[in-house]
Amino acid sequence: MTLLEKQGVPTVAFTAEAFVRDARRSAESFGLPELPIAVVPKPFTNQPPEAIRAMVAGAIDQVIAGLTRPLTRAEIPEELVFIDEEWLEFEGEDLLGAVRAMNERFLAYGWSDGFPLVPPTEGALEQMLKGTGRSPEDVVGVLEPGFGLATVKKVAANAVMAGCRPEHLPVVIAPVECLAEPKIYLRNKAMPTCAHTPLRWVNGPIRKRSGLNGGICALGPGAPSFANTVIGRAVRLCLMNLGHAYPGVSDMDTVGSPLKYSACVAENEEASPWPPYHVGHGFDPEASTVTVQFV
Amino acid sequence: MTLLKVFNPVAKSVKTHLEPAPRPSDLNGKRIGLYWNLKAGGDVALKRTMELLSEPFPGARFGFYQGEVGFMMRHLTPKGAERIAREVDVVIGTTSD
Repeated sequence: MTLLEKQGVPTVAFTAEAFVRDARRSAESFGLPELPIAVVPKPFTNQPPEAIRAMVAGAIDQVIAGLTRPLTRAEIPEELVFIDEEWLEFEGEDLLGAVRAMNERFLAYGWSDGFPLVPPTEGALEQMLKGTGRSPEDVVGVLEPGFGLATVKKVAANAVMAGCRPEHLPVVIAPVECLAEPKIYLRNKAMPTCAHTPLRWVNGPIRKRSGLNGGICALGPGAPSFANTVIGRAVRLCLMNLGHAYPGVSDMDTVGSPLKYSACVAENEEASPWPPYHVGHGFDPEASTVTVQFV
Repeated sequence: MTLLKVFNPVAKSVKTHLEPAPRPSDLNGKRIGLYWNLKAGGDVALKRTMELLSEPFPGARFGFYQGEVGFMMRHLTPKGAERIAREVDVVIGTTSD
């Protein structure tokens, strides 16, 4: 609809009540918070034709108004919390109490995947950034659906929170860069009612350097898959905190999936009867690659 | 008390602002585009919309549109939006959600 408004065409879109927050948030992200919607009680999908016809009849005045009346900026829901300050402070009776306070606040803000987070302190961030030769302020990409500016430092902060080590950071940055590619059409995978998750498939020497498991139980859980787990988790946190794909507001996945917490594996190149996946795509066997495929 | 200072992990948005298209005062005589992304039920909704608007706006004309890319769901591209913009005055859309 924003594409059409940009072309000078007034628009209005039917939107089910459950998707109003999502629609408002999307309209704001695309720079048109005034975009009118005609609210119907339920999604049209799976409703019998008579019910759809009745819902449309009940919303037709909103359709006419949306196309013919001047627009006003809609109320944007405030479930999402954006804070301008670069550094945040938390207090506790001891360090554990302060960590708990941070976790509780991040959970309330929607910045957490639900598991405890490691605090991205200045020292932890400094250590994590040693895992890359890139400058902390380098822009890795702009992530949909919220068009968040993913700098190396922001990616590193989310990697710290996920429990990553510095040697894992390149395997977190690469898929974030991949997800920012327009042709991957991230908003189509991050926002819908389906449980899409970006499976990351790692090839080349970085598998060993980062400790990734390509063998038994590679998708976790457990100690052999520690790197897989935390790298996968870091990318999920990046989707949320850098792309602003927050469940219930801008990620409308109907049921969700355990895979969305973390999904990262290394190819067992040594045991495979086939050439490594990246070699099949024209890369040198000694090159390190990360492939992102939504599953 | 112990103080913990942490880096804000949330990215700032790259903000844009578009001006909404100017609205006509009524829909009579207008070319009305009905846009569907192919998700179930949306076609029924748009046909009903056409029926309901035909009576109060007898001079309105209607055209049905879908996005050009995608399989189960069809999405509009900037090129597709340009084409629709050349052919209609207003658009009513549904994604069925």
